Amino acid sequence: MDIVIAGAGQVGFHIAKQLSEEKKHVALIEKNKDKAAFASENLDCMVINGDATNIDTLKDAGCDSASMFIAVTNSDEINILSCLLVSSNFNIEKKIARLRNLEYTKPFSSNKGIGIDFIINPEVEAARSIINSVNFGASSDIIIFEDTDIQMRGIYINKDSPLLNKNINDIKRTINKDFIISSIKRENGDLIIPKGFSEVKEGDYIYIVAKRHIMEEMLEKLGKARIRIKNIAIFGGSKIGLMAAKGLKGKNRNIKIIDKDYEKCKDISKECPKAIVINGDASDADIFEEENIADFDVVITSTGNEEINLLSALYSKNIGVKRSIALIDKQNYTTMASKLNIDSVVSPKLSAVSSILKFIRKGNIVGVYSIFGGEAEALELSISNESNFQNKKIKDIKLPKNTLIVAVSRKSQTIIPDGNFRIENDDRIVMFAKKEDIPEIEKMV
Amino acid sequence: MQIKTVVKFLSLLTLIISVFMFIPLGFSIYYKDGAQLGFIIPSTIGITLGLFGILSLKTTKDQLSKKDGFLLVTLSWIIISLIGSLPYIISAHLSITNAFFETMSGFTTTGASILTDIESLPKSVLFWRSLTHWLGGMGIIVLAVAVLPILGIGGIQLIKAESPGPTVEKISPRITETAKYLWFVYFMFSVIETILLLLGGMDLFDALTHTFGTMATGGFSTKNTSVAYFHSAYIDWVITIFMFIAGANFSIHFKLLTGKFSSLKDNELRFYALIVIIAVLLVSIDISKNYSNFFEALRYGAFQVVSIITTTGYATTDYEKWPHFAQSILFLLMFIGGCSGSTGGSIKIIRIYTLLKQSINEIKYHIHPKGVFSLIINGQMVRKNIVYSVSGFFFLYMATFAIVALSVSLFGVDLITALSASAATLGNIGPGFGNIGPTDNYAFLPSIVKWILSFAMLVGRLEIYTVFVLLTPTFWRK
Repeated sequence: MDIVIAGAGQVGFHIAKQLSEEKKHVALIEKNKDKAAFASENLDCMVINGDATNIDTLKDAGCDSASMFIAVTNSDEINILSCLLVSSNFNIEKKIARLRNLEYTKPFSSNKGIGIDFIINPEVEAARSIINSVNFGASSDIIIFEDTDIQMRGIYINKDSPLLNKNINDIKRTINKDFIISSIKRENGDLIIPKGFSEVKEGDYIYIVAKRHIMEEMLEKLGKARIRIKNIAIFGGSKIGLMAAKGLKGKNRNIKIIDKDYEKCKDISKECPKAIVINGDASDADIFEEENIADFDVVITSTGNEEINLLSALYSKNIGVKRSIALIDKQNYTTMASKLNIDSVVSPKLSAVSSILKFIRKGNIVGVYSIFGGEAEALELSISNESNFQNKKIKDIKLPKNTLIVAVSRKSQTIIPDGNFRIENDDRIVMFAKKEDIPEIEKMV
Repeated sequence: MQIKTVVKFLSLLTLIISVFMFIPLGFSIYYKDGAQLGFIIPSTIGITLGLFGILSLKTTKDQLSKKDGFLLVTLSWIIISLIGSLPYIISAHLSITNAFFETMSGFTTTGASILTDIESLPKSVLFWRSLTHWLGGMGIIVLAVAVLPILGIGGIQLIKAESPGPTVEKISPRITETAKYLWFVYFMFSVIETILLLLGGMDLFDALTHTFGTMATGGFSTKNTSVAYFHSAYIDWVITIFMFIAGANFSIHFKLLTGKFSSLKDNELRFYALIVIIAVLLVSIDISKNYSNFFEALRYGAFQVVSIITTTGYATTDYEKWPHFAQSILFLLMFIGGCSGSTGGSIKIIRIYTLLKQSINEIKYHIHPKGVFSLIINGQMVRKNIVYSVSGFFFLYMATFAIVALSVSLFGVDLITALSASAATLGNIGPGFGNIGPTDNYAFLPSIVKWILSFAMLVGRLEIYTVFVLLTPTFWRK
């Protein structure tokens, strides 16, 4: 499959990396010379230095034979324009555009004929993740699979964790509930899909898959009891912060939005009349005291500055806020954040990558969630008649080595399966795989 | 530093080179020239060591860093030259110094030889000698990347460290495919040239070995008198044309094969053609009194000019008997070389072209101090850092040339020979002037000089930076 991507920013770079590692032919168009040179040196793909709205550049990138076009430049207008150009000049099956401005989303998504098949808005995705996280107690990173009761949560193992230095079999015996530890990311960066004797060590970041009520019990055992979230403080009235605020209002919640820009505060107070809007700086300690932030249940840091987001989320936890959620894109910060006891990290760019990947995958794959910065993916598949998996026991399916089937949902019932479980038609399964095995799985389903 | 991955890669290369030894082994059995052991022993050692290295070492997924890339590429070339020299030692009874010199000269496509009587060697050894050219020409790392998809992203760094020219052009989205296409084009041209040479009356052995020498811009012949042995205008012209092709960018060849004729507008290609045409005309006019008519002068002139500028080093005549003007032109051509992405060596057309354009701009700046002039090549603006890198390269190249010439003359070699030996090995050309002219060889030089020149060949083939970064203390610091 040939894919042309316009824009080598974080999202474009990430998607190109992911797809080229899956042995797809990727061409990347980037206007900025330095960015183009960087991408060319670090990615196994073709990089064209030029404008995505230039028809010759598009031709050079191989739009004649490509089957997908992904426009993820910084500018909404360029993304729209390049998609329109591509659809009127080339015969490309799927065109994807990233549009930040919500005003654009409507007219373009309502009319498919105009040339964009899929619109992705990273801000909306990020706000949705924040809302999900808060609604489930904001106690950890959370991935919710569609139409199932299953959740996947990331948990950092510190030196007080009850799971410390136990192997998977021991943990299963002591907790004795239906759950699966789907992956372990070691402190040195190794990613393991664990077997029975794999041991959980200090500094690990593990992903657990379980049903909702079991997950809550487990979190309680792990020292993260579910709390009722009532008081929410949002630092930074960015688009994401504002969308999250709107999504979280109601249920007697008390929302406070703090932004350093006075004019912006005015706008926010107009749009969210119920929230209390404070004009102040997140990096200023006094504001925490004045506004009594320490007594809040959750702090969401969504300013435009990642460093401030990280530090103020950390500071909030230190002064006694129960949970904190930080908006962070840089991957090295993401890893650091979970070590620093920040409960949940939301990355707009990674969520954009996830939803684009989801769209790219074949029809049988209904959900894709990339984790650990794209090193592994949780895939949600539906089993059709032609599937290789149908009517087979899990242990008889020849899956790549580091792949795990973590959950099966059948007729609105969710099962955490073992090796003897038989997959049937119309099942939906959730699978966990390392990125290098993705192409093989794609072939199987 | 990823020692394990580096060692594993080196094992792989050892394995590849050892497998290629089966071809001369086949010739050896066919000709019954008694050189079989010379290939059986090294390839057994190579395959054992290679397999052991590959199977016993686990690679981590971590990418090779740039540093690892430089080290790995330099080590690769040294190691294959060591293994490649074994057949000479075992079957041709050469000393280690001579065998290493000959192999390095082969892989780097220099074509400088220490053999006084080439035809006395077993045919299979001569075949191996030419095969080293062919393998080294397009690059062994490029070959490894093409046949072993495991390298993925690290591949581009390695290819960059190995391949000629300041930048590497990706002709396909995937680097393994780019490498495959380049080898494919190289292979195709080799097949065509072999057929044309067969039609000219050569036997398969001669056709193959001379094709290897031409396409790799190497210059090893299987005859004592080089291509002059054949006394055929047809063969001279075929080799001239294919040397010219091998000195041009293989990415452009690929684009032409796929029907993109607009790539003929490439600035470097045109400048290359222009230099060749001017030099051929000047030389041919100057030497016309040495030959019976102008067309004969043109035949010898064109062959020699193309042979030197593409850094091949074949000879059809003793150009040291030519007038001084023609000789001076040939000497200067030694510092130009082929295009980027070709199999040729030396400084490369693109660098000369960039520096030329930049110096014209500098002159303009003197007239209009506040003027703005940009350096445009192929319709693209060239960034400052490329110009800096090219100027740095030019200086280092000339400095290395001077230092090698100086150290060679320190061991009692005369001025002309020392200067031309330095230029001919650093530029991967082969024959020079004085005592190492087209009718002479490098055999008489003292051992130490041969080692210095072997080093110069490696530095020249890997384009200075790759080897020199290893010599800086900063490289080894954490």
